[in-house]
Amino acid sequence: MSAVLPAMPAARTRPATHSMKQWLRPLASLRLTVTLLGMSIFLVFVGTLAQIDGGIWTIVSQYFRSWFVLVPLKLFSQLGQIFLGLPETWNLPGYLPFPGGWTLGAMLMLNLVSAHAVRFRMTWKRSGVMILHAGLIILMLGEFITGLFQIEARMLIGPGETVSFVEDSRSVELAIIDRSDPKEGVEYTIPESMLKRQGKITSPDLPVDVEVAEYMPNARLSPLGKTETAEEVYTSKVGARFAFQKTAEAPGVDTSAQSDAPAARVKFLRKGTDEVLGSKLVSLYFSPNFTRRLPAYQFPMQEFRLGDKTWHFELRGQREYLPFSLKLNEFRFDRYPGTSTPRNYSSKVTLTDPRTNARREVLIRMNEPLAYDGSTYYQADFTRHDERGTVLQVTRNPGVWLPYISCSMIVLGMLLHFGQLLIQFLGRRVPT
Amino acid sequence: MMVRGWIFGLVFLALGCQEEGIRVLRVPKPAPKRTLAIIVPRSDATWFLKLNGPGDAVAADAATFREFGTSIQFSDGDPPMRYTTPKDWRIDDSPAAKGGMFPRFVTFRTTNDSEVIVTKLGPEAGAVLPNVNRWRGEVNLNPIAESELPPLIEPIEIGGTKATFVDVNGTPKAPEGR
Repeated sequence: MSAVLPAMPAARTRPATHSMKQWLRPLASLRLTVTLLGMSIFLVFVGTLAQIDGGIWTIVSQYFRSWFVLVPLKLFSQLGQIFLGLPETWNLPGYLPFPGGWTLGAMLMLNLVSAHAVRFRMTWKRSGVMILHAGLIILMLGEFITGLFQIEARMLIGPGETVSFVEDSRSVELAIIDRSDPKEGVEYTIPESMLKRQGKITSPDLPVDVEVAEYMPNARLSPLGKTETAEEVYTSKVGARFAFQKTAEAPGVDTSAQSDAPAARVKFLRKGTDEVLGSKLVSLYFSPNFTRRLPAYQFPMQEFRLGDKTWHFELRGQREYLPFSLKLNEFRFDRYPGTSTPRNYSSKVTLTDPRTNARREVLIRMNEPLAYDGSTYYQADFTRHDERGTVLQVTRNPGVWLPYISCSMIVLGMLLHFGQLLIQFLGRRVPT
Repeated sequence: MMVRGWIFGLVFLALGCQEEGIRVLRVPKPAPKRTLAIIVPRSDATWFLKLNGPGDAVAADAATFREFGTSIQFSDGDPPMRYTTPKDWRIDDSPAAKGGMFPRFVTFRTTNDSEVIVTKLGPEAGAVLPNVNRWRGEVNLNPIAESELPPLIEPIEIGGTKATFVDVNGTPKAPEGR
């Protein structure tokens, strides 16, 4: 029988395949699978513990959507204090370096793909496992795509206003704005990640150098009484006086917490020099949309002079401009007659898209969002002080269907696999 | 096939390592707003007719707006005003078009999506300069002095009453959200 084996084709292909398999073998190890799964469980555990102090999206970004994380050992002392009654003075110093969620996910995926290349054979008996594993790969890819490309943003439109941008609800940017041209404004934006690092930011793309003296993930604006004083007093357009107070991030475990309002102390310097053009505290509170345009919290836009030009700047939700616009014709907050119980929220908007010359009126209501250009616009909120402006929640996730596809494949794979085993088992029993 | 799979994986890893940088965004400013208005001072009331909208839309609707104004006839009975609605204008009866502090007599939408508002206020509201400066503020212009008024206004007769026609050509203004 061995004489009839097709020796020639195998002689050409086997060495390459063989060496590849040799190379992949350590990656395909089942021990590695178990180790990685164990490490993933540990990462989820410490990521959950970290929400005692940290905000949920900060933790998601630091622990799960990262390649590497430094786990503070004080988390374990906090755990001991809560569950074992250890004294509060007992604190573990230092950090545990640990792979982040993306590293573990990528390793698990490589491990799975390598295992299929090295160990698994494509047979009918294995088809269930194959489909199940393919589902797992799609699940991991889905999370990766979501982490990289998902947008969760808000669009606030005042009555009669036309707006063509959305602002990210979870990350901020410092925008330096030149409005001197009558036809277009030019905005130079510095992302939150660069502000967080603090220090001097120089770039050929920026009109000035920016020095971030301090970055605060959360600083609350507290109203001041008429006679109260503070080191720095900020007065809004209607004359209300406030002071800033640096506070901790709202912890992920606190479900009633307000949104964090980052702030930073920045200096604008003439390029390549130490000449200070302006030194200001910037805060998300100065962005009118953050406070839903509440009149008491509206501040004049901050500015500095450079040459004969006035430059404006503000800290705001990371903004994305859209190739189309929405104009708010009417916002309605309907209540049940004779009560203050909400019945319906709706926004009548005109969508204008110059790319297609489209111009149509759209009604966005609760559970009836507008799906357009790859994003979905949900009725989310409104301007509370006048009930005339609308707030739309905007989501875009190119991987939105991948979890559904992967879960369906996993269920199908399990049904197939266990179905085959059941049939096999019943087949064995029949003769006896 | 395996090599392609690895390349795909490496591209993904590279994407994950990318860091956000400084962006330079060029944002077209919204079209300048323009307001044409007619102030009709009568003994019992001041009537305001206003055409608001983007500059080019208002320019396209300007002649029709004048025709609408000159079609108006006042009476002492009810309704206090009669007019001929221009072809293709439609009455806007949405709650937002009812007006807030100053209830509107009627609001129209033109085919160019300009807004035509007719408001009736007390006889004391007919001074031209304060109204012109209020409308200038609405289209992002600074107030002017009495001496700067003449080039912006012209006399017009509406329903047998001497009235003032005003043209306020604005500059672009960003939404309140900036």
